[in-house]
Amino acid sequence: MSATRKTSRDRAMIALTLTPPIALILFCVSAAATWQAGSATIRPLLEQSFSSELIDSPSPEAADYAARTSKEQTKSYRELIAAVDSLNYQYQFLFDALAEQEDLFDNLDQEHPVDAYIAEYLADAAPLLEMVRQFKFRASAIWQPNELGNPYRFSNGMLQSRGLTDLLMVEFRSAVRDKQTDRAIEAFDLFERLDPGINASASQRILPLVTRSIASGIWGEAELNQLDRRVHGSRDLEDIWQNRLRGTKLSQLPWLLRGEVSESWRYDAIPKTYAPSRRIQWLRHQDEFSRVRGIGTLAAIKQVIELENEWASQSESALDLALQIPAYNQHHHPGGSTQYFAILFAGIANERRYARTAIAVARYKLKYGDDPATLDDLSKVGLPRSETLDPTGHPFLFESDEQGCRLGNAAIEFTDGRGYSGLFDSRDSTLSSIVKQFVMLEFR
Amino acid sequence: MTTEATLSALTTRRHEASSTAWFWWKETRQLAPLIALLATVSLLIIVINAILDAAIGGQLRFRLPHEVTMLVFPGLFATGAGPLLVGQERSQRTIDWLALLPISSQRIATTKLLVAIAGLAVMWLFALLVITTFGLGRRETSYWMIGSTTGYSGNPFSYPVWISHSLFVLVAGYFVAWRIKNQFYSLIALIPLAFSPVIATSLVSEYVGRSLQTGQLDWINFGFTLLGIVIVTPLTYRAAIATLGAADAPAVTPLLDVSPHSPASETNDAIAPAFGTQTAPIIWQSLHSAKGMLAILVGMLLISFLAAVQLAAVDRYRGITGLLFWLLPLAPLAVCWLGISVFKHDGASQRIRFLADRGVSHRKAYLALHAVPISILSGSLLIYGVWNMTVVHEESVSGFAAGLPTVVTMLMFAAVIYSISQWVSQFVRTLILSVILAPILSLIAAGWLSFAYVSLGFPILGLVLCIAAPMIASWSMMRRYMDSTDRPVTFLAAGVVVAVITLLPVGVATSYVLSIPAMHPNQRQQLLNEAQSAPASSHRFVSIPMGGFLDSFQRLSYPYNDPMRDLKESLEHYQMDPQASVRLLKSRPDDNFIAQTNLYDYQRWHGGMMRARLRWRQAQNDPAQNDPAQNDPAWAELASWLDASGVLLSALRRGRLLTDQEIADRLEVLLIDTLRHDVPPERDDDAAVQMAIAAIGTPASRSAARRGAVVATLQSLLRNDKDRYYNFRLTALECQPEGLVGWMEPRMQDAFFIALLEGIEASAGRSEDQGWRLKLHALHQPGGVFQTSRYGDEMRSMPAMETMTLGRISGYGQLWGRDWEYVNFNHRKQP
Repeated sequence: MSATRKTSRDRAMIALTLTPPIALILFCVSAAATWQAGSATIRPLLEQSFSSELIDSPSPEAADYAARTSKEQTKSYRELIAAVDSLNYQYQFLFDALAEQEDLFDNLDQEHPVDAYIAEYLADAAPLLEMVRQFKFRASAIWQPNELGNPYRFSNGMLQSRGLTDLLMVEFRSAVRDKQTDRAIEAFDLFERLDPGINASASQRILPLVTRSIASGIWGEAELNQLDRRVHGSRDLEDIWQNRLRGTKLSQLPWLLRGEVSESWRYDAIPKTYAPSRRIQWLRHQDEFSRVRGIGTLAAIKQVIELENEWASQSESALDLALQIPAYNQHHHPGGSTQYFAILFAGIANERRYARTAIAVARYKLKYGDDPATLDDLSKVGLPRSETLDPTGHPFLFESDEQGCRLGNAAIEFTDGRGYSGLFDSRDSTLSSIVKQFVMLEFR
Repeated sequence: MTTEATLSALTTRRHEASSTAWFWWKETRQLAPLIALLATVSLLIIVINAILDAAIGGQLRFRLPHEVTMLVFPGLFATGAGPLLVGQERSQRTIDWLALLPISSQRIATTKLLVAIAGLAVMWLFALLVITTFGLGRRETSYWMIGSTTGYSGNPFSYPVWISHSLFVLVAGYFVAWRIKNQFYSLIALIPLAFSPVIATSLVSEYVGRSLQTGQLDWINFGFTLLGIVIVTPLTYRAAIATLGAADAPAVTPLLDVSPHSPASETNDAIAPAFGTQTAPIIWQSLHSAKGMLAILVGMLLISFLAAVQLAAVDRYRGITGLLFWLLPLAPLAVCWLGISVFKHDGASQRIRFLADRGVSHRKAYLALHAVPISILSGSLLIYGVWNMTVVHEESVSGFAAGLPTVVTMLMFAAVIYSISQWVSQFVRTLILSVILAPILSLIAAGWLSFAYVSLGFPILGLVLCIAAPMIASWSMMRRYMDSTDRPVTFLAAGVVVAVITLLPVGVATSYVLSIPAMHPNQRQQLLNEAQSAPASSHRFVSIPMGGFLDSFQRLSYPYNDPMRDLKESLEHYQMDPQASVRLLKSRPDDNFIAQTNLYDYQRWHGGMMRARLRWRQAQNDPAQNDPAQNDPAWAELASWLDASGVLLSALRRGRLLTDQEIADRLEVLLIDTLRHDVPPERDDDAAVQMAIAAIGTPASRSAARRGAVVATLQSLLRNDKDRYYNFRLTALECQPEGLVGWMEPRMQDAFFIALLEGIEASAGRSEDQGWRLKLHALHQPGGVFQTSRYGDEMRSMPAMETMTLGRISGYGQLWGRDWEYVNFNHRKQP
């Protein structure tokens, strides 16, 4: 006897049991709808920064790289690098010996045991240096055969591409010790044109060497002006920062558009999916980073740290996360540590300021024949006051007395008692994190 | 008279002993399904362990020690005996029939208990016999592993503790079964009671303050267990007598004021609420009759949820918060019991019969029975989902919250557990057996399906099918179940379900593996014959120090070494003289040596030759050098490199490894480039130049050499499978599902060799065919973009010198068939 007449009790009973499953289905359906809607908003967001053809190309990274570079000097560069690499392999212990030397520019007249080896090295390297001078290599004319868009990209096939920068640094050292300033400036020039990359390790940057050479007193006024112009005209850090963020976004386009991550089971055994809201969140974070102003200052570092801390204590609560597999928090943080780069850039900015201040001291000495009494005196040779400040905003340590003058690369001789703590709570630790090592130049 | 005599004879013969024997036999027979279940479960554990060991070999980090399979027998027996012998009988009302027999209730109670104790003794003897015979309890082999925790179970003192504990659990089981009528409640009550000695022991150790040794804990545990047995046994006895005896008369309540209780209203109130449809009353009845049980299950879900909420709110797990983790498994257990409650709840069989008699269609009954548990599950999943929208899933806030699985993952797990449990509860006759079997089976099923998803690449659709299979099975069996004619067809359905769940993932994985074409056996045999008859297989290997002799200088990485001394010594020891490197080859040119070297050294050679070329270029452009005399030093150096490279190239081409051929290719590219760009035609008559030109091969010769290396590699691969140095590495294997890698490796290797052979042919014939390049790209650079790789047309159209990798091989065959191969030097050869 199946009665068809439903009483209110029937309805209540059936409603009571049907409501939770229907609510769950609605939840899942709206999560799926959110997923679809999110997916659709990603491309317009990307089109704000990149052109449509670039996004559609099989490897946007490769297309962008090809647009920025030419193959003009590729062949010669590769030939040179192979030769330099072979030479440096032969002299590999020379670089270790040089790295341990702190006093290379202190007394130019004194013979140093390593000088003989440097001379030997440079004699062997003469044809290579000749080639560098002839071609005047610049990074934008050297398209490297990186297989961008493939795993293990940046496989240009050369084991060591820092050979040339090492060679030029040795050439610079030798030129300074030989007091041949035009040779030294040329080496500096050639180095900068190569643009070894802002995240190259500190030893690959020539600026600290140049600064140390200034104290040796070999430079003339015109040369110092030249150096100052070069340092002042170095690549804008803001520009490099934006480029880096742009490059990261480009390399992640497949993940952003389609949620694809090709992962080996050695690193991550469980197949994962990434909800659009998570990808959009990453994009927004990258945009926040690109809006940080004053790259190279302590304020920028603090802003980056603040942003990262803020994000570490928040997470998206979007519906589509419920459909991710397997967990809500999927680790995928491409792009490296932005904090690291902010700190690195602040260190580079400090180096540039330090170099310019040292140059100004040397110019003052040449112009007025005497040491400046304080850093304020440097305004007489056209150095703005802002260029004499360390990352914490205090002027560089400067001592001037009868024996001569000494310039430090920070306001105090800092030590971080805890070792390199990476924290910014005290002046010592801030300076240690950014400047890494205190250097004191003695002007002769 | 004879009748009287017969009767008296009968009367005298009928004595107590026969009824005892019959009673013992009846009780023992009742235990039969339990024994069958235990055998099945231990068999399952053995099979699962064996499969896991054989197929995955330690990748799945879960392992049970062998004696667990044996200890299943006494352990589960102790848990199940009481509820089976007493609880089941009570729910089926056969206990009333027993009470009517002319057997005293003491006899009934004692016999039941004694039968179980005897059974337990038999179980223990069996288990211990197997353990000692097969030596299962040894420390070396007997370890368990869950995730990253490993433990040993080799404590010999524990056995007496376990035996006495199992006895205690047996008696406790009887106690709750006699005391509590509702089977579900009695099982719930059994859990804390069974753990009470353990709880008491930990309380004592907390009270004592310091951590006690295992031996002392065992003694204390033993003591509490004996105490428990001593206390619970008389209580059990008393409860049994009370149940078997006459029921108490209901209490007399004083007469109430009658006026509000008119006979009419009394009658009306006694009637159950009226419904219009058929489904609604079944649902109402599910709720009403199982109010307590559903409340307990919802309570379990709630407790587990609240524990999760608390864990997600804190950063560190100290003290009591650490114990909250133990509350989390209540949720899957509750889901499992919800599944069981579909077909096995208090009075379930009577209910089903009632519905069948009323003509309720089996479909409606099925839906109505599932309605309440499914809505409880959906409700909890919904609450979980909504709660997760308020939680911050970041490591810095709470590690627990960061690892929370999503709604869809929880849904999958809940669905598996529920589906298996409800199928088990339809399929198994008694509640206690389904309560024991369902969690084990759903755990195994959940583990197997998640393994299939993670490691076998089983798609989500397949998971859905596997989850649906038990539901479909119980749906199709519903009509027969309602008519109680489900046996033996239900075993067939069970077989189908097990087959689907086990074989579907295997089938999908197999078809995935088989989708990669393997080499035909004929072709493989042909290639092996070719390798066997190769003339080079008898040549000798000689190692060529292409990298100079710096490597003979051992630099010890002491931090206190004097760098200047190291520098001096290294420069004295270093020698990058190409003629010195090939001296052995030159001295015995007829011996046809095979040069052995590596890519790192090749890069040194390449660089050295480049230095010579650059010096030569400078010398040529140097205006001071007017007279290009035949014996100027720059040319002499370049000539020595050319000569040595020519000698080396021929020796490298005989190489039997794929890497050797790749190095030979690179050397040949270098040589051709040098001859074309840096050797002026005037110098062609130089012996060194002629040596170099003679060493340059033709596409045919190169293809023969490459083919020789390919078949030799194939031969060595098949000869010695255990040697992992195959001279090549297939990156594509790393992006396959982990569990399939072993199966895919041979097929992918076959595909690799086929692609290599195709490539060799294509480059010999200068064909534009892309197929082999696409295949090699997929094998070496999985997930990458073909057009921008070294296999793509763009990079191949550039000169090889500008794009080839020097220090490492990112893929084989990147240099094959490119323009350098077809350069002709015949016009420069001197007769």
